[in-house]
Amino acid sequence: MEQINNVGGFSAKKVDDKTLILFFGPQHPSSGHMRIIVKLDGDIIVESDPDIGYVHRTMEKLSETKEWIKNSVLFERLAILDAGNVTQAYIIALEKLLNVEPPPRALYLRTILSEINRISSHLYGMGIFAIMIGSSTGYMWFFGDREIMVQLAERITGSRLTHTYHIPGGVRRDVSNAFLEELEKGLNYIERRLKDYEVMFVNNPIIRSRLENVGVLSRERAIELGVTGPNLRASGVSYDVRVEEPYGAYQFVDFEVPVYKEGDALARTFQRFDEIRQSISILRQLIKSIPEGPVLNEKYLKLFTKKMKDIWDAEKRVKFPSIFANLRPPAGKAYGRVEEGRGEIFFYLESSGEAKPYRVRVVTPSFRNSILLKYLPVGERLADLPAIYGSIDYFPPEADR
Amino acid sequence: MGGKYVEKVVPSRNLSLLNKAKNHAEALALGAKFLVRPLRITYRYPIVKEIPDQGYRGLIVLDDNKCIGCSLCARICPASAMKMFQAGEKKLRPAVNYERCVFCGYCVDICPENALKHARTHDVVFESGESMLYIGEKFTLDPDTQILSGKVRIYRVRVDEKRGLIYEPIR
Ligand code: SF4
Ligand code: SF4
Repeated sequence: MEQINNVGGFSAKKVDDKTLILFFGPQHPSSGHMRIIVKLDGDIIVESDPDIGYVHRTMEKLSETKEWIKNSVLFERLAILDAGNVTQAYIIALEKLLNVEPPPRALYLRTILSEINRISSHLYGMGIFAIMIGSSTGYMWFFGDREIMVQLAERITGSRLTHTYHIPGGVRRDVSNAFLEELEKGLNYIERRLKDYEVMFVNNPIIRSRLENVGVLSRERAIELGVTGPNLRASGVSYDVRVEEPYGAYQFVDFEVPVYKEGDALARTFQRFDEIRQSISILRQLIKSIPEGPVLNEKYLKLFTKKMKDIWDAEKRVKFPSIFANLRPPAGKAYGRVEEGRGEIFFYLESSGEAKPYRVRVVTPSFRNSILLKYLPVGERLADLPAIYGSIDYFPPEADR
Repeated sequence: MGGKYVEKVVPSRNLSLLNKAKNHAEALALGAKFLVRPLRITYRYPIVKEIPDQGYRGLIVLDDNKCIGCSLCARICPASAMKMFQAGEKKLRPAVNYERCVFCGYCVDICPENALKHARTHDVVFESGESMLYIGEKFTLDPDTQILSGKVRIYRVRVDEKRGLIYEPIR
């Protein structure tokens, strides 16, 4: 084998006159903190080897050195674009260990943040996807409009991306009616813009020609590889944690989970835009039916001092009872699962009754989907690799943990 | 109540030549529309500045008179950014290192005396590592007053049905 050469900005090894090994990445955003080593025959991919792990941060091990509540801050850094959903899964598991449940209003608020996160996560994924296949208009639009969702999340939580909103037994802040009105406005805006996206992106003949019948994932293959989330549903498998094991306020609203059959990059695109439509509908129902009441479990409210109560009454923000600094869940095991924007995130927690977890296991959707980068590109053209990569909405920091 | 699965198919695969021409024309027309009246999401930072919503988790300010030195804030800090320091005899006070702080706001929320609060300022440039340590009196100054007294124009952002976001000057 010859030495590594530079071919048009890429590193490559020549195998023989027809065959080339190309290192795709790890520069962002063409491959985003990971690289794919592809073996090419002409411009047809004959072998594809995703090389992940560039942003591995030993999160599982690190969490064993931190107190329970601090880990929520750690884990939301898995997927900064969808932080609300990640911490929710962790907190659901922790609540099982502590045997506390959030009051109804807190469930609604959690789901409001989840769906805002889902919309912004899909827009983010679609934005990266658009720029990968050369549609800079799509990129600007999706990223720009995502800003509205980010602003709304900031209004609820006080932080644009690292919300740290969930706490055992509830959430940290309540929202005002003015916020709910603003949310409605934001949803109306996104709903109108979805029509623009259709014209400029989804139905654009150039985009269509890049996506139709590219990276086809059959139903059987999707199940066999253990794919999750929109990628799974775009291949005709009905599976969504929000339906299978409802959490938050999902049992109080009516919604559809679209399931596309075709399994190609185009179906995955439609899948995501349809999910945004459903998120808008879910959010509207939540705005209408959100109940009044506390946002933290009785058990912790009882510990409130007079000062803490006054702050809650005046500012609608929860003060932590001092026990939060030293939570010691009884020895046991619990899991939490949540449907994130990119699929199912799963937390397994094991407590030995100490102030820190004995073991935390995280299975992230991006990790489960990363296997697609080994199988989907084979037999496709090199030029289709970005389209395949972008269409599965793979987020490296989440996969690498 | 709850979710249900709905099977769907991608409409209009294999666009005919006519449909391709139509879709191209529509996309171009839409582009032209935004050329005339663009939707601008950005603003001219730092000539103008955006001040976030009330409740934004920005820099942290200590009220020295309220603090009782209980150390809870330092204990709950997930990034070890907040530490306690001796501030005179038998008097402990927190200090924050912005090199580490992740603005989670746990310290603010756990403080039993409400001695800590968030400022709305979040964009600060530090010239050296040492200047990122806010200790003693420095930690008790509200950075918002500095920004609001500066020369820049201050904007607030509002969500709008038609334009997405609107930046409104408040000064
Ligand atoms: S938690 Fe509040 S009162 Fe206690 S040391 Fe920190 S700032 Fe002072
Ligand atoms: S905001 Fe969070 S990271 Fe920063 S000092 Fe407070 S507790 Fe620590």
